[in-house]
Amino acid sequence: MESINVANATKAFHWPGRTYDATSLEGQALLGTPNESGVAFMLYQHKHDLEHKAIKKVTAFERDCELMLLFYIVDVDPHARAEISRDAANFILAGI
Amino acid sequence: MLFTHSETAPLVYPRCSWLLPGASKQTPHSSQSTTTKTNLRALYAMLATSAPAAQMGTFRERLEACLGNYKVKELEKALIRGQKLHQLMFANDQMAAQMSIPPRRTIASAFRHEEAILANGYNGAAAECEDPELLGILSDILRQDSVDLSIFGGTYSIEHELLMPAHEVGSDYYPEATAKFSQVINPIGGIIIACQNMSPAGANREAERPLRHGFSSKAATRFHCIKPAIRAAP
Repeated sequence: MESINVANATKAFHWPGRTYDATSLEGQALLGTPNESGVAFMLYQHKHDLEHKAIKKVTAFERDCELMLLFYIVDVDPHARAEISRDAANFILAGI
Repeated sequence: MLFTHSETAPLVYPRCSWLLPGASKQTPHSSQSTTTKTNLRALYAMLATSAPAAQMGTFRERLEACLGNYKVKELEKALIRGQKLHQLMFANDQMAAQMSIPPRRTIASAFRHEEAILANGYNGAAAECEDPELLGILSDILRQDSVDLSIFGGTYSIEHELLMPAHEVGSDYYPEATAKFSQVINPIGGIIIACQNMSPAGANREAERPLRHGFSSKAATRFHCIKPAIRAAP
């Protein structure tokens, strides 16, 4: 979060903080952190129980000098599912 | 602390591209060095708003000057990992399994039932987690976000505490490792609060000890764990 703030010349904010779309670079950088990746793991490893869901956006805010992260989770649109499958297929083919 | 909040509105997902315009047409996993370069471009693009184009080549150096080389590398690693996780979330199970390295039949977690948890070292002792102050804070936050939620109704808490005592394997000494996970769940409101997510690596960092072991399958069987306690709030 500190890196993102330095890169974007922003500061940590109290609630309502700053919201990043999961498709943005900042959102994906947050998604790759140890704290946030656990949420992604839960969603993609438990599709049978939770149905197909994904993180839509992340709100980062500060409280008592501690970073808080709020994740918004939504149902995955079937069209988006097909789209990502094509992308993943490209990746698999190119990886052979 | 982490909060998750579910929404019912469907997400319209833009075409997922690992590569920014002008970047190499390599796929993300074809080579680690290409991936790093690609994400460096992405990182530089993110920085473009804060510096003139003529200085694009020096972004990494400038970022390093502010954050240090270690943190820039951490940011790059987080970007690579975040992009992969983002794809995994949107892919179906079969496709996500193919994307894993090595490819698998399914990406679904093996920890779906209590038996699986018990088979990995949980000893059955119960623990409880209560943090009314935290619940109050969350309730206030969600009200500000116009979320109609009765956080105190139907709320469950769950806590895992893991401790692996110091031990020796052959000539190797392994210091004590601890981990603590504490979550509060409100299924009706669609809320999960991760009050505490202290992994063994994190606990060792906090104690300024080098991590000598993690959650390998062998080590996990020797962990003395507290069974998760599920408690309905009044």
